[in-house]
Amino acid sequence: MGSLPEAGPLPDHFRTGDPVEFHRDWDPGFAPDDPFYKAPVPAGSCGEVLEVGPDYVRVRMQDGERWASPLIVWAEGRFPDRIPGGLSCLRKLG
Amino acid sequence: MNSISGVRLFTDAAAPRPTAPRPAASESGPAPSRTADDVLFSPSAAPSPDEAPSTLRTSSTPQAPPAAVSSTPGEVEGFLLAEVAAAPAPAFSGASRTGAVPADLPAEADSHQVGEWCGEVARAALSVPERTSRITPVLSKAVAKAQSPSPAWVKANPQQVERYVQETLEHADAMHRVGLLRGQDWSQHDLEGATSKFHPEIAQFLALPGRNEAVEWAIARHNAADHHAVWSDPGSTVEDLAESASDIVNAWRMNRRVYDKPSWSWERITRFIEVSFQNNDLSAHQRDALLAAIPHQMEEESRHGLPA
Repeated sequence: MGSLPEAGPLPDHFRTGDPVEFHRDWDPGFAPDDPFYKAPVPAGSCGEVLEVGPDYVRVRMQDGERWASPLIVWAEGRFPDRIPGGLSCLRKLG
Repeated sequence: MNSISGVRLFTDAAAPRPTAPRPAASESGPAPSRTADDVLFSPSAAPSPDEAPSTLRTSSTPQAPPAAVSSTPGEVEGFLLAEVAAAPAPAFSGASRTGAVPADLPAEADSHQVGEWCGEVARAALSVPERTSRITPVLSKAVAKAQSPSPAWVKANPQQVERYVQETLEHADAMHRVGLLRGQDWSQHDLEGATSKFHPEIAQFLALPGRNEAVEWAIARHNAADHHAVWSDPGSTVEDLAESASDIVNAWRMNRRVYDKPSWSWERITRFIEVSFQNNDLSAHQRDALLAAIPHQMEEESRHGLPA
């Protein structure tokens, strides 16, 4: 409990201002009829880290039309339920 | 105007939109300017029990809302255990339904009649499997006949319709029960006339997994329902948003079969609300309504478990 069950960087691997890339497809996890729906992120999409939280990283995507507001990319496997996160799909550029 | 993805979605709906100015905040002062570097959300921003909705629209068995939003799972469970001991669960999820089972539909029934009939069955005092087995063949047949806005759009097959019917019934049942917990009558939730999720023109595309133009069209039609339209109304109060907020929180907790989405943890939900408010994706009233919905959803889950 409390450990991250899947490989992937921890949020503190990132710093505010880091250019980042989704090297794998990532779905933010909203059902299509969820009012907070955000489009899945295809591999190769890039952005910039806006904020590093204890278990998430907030990323402003370069494609501002597709993702008007920043994405919250969660760490994997948070207690109490296992929720697939997206940090394992994210890497720093440069 | 905040850029709210929910508003963007709801804006597609055909319901008229009031033009009242956006409420400043639930607090008496002006709305805070929220940016990425803004102050962190404080749990004290959540409405206190005294501030929870007290004006009941159609109260039948008004009850005080649960005591508070707890920030840790341990506190939550302690609260839930006390509630469970005080109120044993009904025998099955449809137990709160008291409607009679309607007669069979005439063969020439149109989409509106099918939607209304399915809604009546949905409210009947039968279990979810019983209602699913009655609704699915009728709705599947109507879906196959329903007019599509585009000949290129794929229609839902009977298996997809069955999964959709079961999920919709479970969600509607849960919303009905949460409404009772909050002293409100939400028995029409998702079953409202032309915006009903059982209206064949809507069901045929909402039953499809994934998101494409067809699903968006169906969502836009359903979002004309009052409980969705009110969410994007900047003049709505926290009380007005109760059903919408419970709808959203319940959906976040659903292990959705149709869209294959896992339930969100409470931690993720509270963090999401916090960060979305900071990010101007939520107004203060929307944030407060979502936070107020959490203890009621927790109590619902203590009695009936996680939404399917």
